Amino acid sequence: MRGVGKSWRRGPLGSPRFLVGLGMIGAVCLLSALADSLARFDPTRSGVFPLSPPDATHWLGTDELGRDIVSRVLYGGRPSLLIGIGAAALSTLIGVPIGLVAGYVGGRLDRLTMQLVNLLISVPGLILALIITAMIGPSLTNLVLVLGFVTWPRVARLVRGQALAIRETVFVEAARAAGGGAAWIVRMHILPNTLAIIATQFSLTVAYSIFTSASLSFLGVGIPPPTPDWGGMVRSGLNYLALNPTMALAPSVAVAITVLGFFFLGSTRK
Amino acid sequence: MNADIAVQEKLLEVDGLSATFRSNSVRALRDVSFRIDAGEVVALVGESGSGKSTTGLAIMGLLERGEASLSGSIRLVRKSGERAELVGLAENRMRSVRGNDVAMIFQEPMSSLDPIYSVGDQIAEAIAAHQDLPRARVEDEALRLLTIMAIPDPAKCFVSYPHQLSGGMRQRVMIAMALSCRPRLLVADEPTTALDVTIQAQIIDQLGILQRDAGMAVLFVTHDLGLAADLADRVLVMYAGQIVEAGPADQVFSRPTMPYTAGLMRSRPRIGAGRAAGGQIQPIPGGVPDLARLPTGCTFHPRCAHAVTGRCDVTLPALEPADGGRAVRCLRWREITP
Amino acid sequence: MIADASGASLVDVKGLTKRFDIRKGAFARVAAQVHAVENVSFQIKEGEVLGLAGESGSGKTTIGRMLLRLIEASSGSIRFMGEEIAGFDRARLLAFRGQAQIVFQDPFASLDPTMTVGEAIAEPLRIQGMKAGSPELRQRIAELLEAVALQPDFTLRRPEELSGGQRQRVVIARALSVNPKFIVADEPVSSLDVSIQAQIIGLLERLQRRSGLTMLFISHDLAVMEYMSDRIAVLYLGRLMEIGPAHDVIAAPKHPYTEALISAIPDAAQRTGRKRVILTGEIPSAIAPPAGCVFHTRCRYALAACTQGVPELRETRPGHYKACIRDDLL
Repeated sequence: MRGVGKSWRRGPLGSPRFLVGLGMIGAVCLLSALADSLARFDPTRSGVFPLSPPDATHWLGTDELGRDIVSRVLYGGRPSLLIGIGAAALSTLIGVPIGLVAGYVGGRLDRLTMQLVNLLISVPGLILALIITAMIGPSLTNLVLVLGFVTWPRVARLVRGQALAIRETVFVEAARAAGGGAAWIVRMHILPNTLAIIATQFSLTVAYSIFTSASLSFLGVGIPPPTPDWGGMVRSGLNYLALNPTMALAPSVAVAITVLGFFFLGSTRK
Repeated sequence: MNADIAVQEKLLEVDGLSATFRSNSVRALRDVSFRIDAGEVVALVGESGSGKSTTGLAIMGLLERGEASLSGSIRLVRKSGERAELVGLAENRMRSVRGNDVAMIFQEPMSSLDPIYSVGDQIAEAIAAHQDLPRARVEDEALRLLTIMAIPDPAKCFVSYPHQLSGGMRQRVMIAMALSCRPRLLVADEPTTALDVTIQAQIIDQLGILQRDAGMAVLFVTHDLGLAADLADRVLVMYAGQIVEAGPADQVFSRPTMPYTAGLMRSRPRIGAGRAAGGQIQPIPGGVPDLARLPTGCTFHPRCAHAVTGRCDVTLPALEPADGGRAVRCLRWREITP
Repeated sequence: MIADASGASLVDVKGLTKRFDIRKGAFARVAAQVHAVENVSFQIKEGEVLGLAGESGSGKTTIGRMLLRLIEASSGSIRFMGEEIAGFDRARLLAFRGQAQIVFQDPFASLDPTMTVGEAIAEPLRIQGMKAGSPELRQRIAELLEAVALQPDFTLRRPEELSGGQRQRVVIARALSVNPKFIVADEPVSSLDVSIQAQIIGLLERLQRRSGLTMLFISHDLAVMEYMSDRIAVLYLGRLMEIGPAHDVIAAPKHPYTEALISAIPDAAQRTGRKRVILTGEIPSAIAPPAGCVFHTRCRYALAACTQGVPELRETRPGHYKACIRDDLL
């Protein structure tokens, strides 16, 4: 009866959850990429009608400086996506090698690494990011660096756990019996069997980083103005909630859709 | 073993039982029919995917909820004398059947024992659930059951936790628990497969003694022909969800009629007849068929040396009576039996 | 200890011992030792199949791993083609990996699910230096698939698509890829269906005969072992109880443990007229093995003297040795 199921061929594409996530992110990426042609107004140029409610010209109204909210939400996706993907890439680049080495080598090296990792994980990520950003100053590059630094320990711990489990499998023993050294075994067996977990964690890290960068902007240490970014827009929108609620609502919804999309991708089990 | 019992009392009758798994529409059992008499030991032999375990689970009513749909009938004569139809029986009534008339033991006893309760607590709970005994007597009964399972230090075992026991001891405890309801039928699904041979021999020996003393019927599900031969009065050989040969154990094993049974016998090396003594083994070619894509006609024909094109790949043979009280599912058994 | 005049020995094991430490507490103090293998000596001649029989805890798997230097021995000597394997440097060890291979018990665990069949078979060859994707590698994979009776199109399949028997054929092809002199087969058929077991035994037997492979055949199944082996060694609690020609050991066991082990095997073809020797008690703990003969706690012939000294292996018939002080039995 074994060998009947060919589920590995279908992969996660068979899961509706994965497809919904993919659709949400696809839409967000597409809208951000095409912002230049889709946006009907310059997102940074002030207008003469501040805080106007939604109408035929400004579909979601304008903000306190009279800037078109639709255009700002469209452009605001760019820094968010860049930060999210950049931070996740950095955290993968740091976390995966550390996790693989700690898990495969084991012993004292593993214990030391894991103590450091657990220490970093025990500090709430937002607070750590807030402190570091406040010290080195907010910019797109700095935010990627900070969020990559905050998120790598989780990646390392996850990869280390998987490496530890794969190390004990019979097929790794078979590779050792065939003469494979540590580098060979990590490259040919441990890494390929960890890729699914790495991909999952990548997606979750993007979601986390976008969310946290929005929170940082909201707390005032995000992308400096006038560049539109969702977190900053929510922050200023809150001041005018009574006058034009879409000012805070629209970027909030955008963050929610993006974060949820990446979360759906990452939490789909094969 | 029970030749002295003149009138055989029917205990369980399985008739036209079919099972289809809902998840993949695979028909795990197709038209399975057999009976077990009171006090009789019947071995259900087969390879993986043959449906042997599914049959055991179906009898226990452990299949139905959601995972498989059953048709056909399983009739059991209960202790009360009532004849109960187990297919489609309501879960609360099935529980009472499981607690009083039939019990089951599995290959891995660890998964059936709760790790956080002592062995004694679990046996006592089983006894209290099935027998109306005063509290003080329950413990005596538990110790008695451990003693008849030949556990060396029953008092120590009573206060032990499952993880402190060896695999063999855990299986003895499981059997003791199964016996606590004094079942008329014990379904044993590969109970010694995970154990060492010397421990297996002890448990099989013990099980045989208990079975004879209690007059309990046993359905012994196994892949091991040797064990089946050792234990059973009658043997049912299953292949791809069907019974392909049935009959008295000595008949089936000394002169197998169905080519599959004969092939299984030839594919095991015999002890004391190894290469040095000129022993031979002859494998059955090919593999067990995929239940989702069964061959047409006789399900065994692609692997059978006696298969004839135009017959065996076209007509599904019926399980028909053969000599020596046997039944065989083969179109050509008359021609090929020497 | 057990010298054999005829034929050169490929593997020569002397006084092999393995003790695993059990560590406890904050400072990982050694709290106890598992006596996995104690003072085991045997030889395997070139082209010979030695069966290693025993139940769980007998140390048979540990011995197989030590012979391949997958785990290090605590003491004793293992010589392969006359060389001490513990002394191998990196380069010699890599060469040794090309000469000595292993087939594992569970074909569902011993293949990496992310590798295709072709990649799995190619792995030992690539480690030995053959280029990935080279024509000679492709040629070799095709030869090996043919040798284990699998279709050429299996190269691109993944383990998930294969049955247990097909997987075990792949594992065997992989072990043979480097043309080894010596193979440790660790329960190679025990997780397979009966009808498939016979196919794999037949395959191993053909391949072994064709290339004169030397083999250590580890199993708990004495019938299969007798069929495959020239000689059989019986282990109990890490110690060698008996070793001799396969047919002699099975037909006329000299050690009480072997007698009980053989008697415990259910045999469909010999249903009636067998009297069973049923051992009492359980296999003792290898952390505190019994003093004297480790089997005396379950032996129906045990004397007071059996608790005293560890019995030496003694030759009872030419080439047939037992570690039992009682010469008046069996």
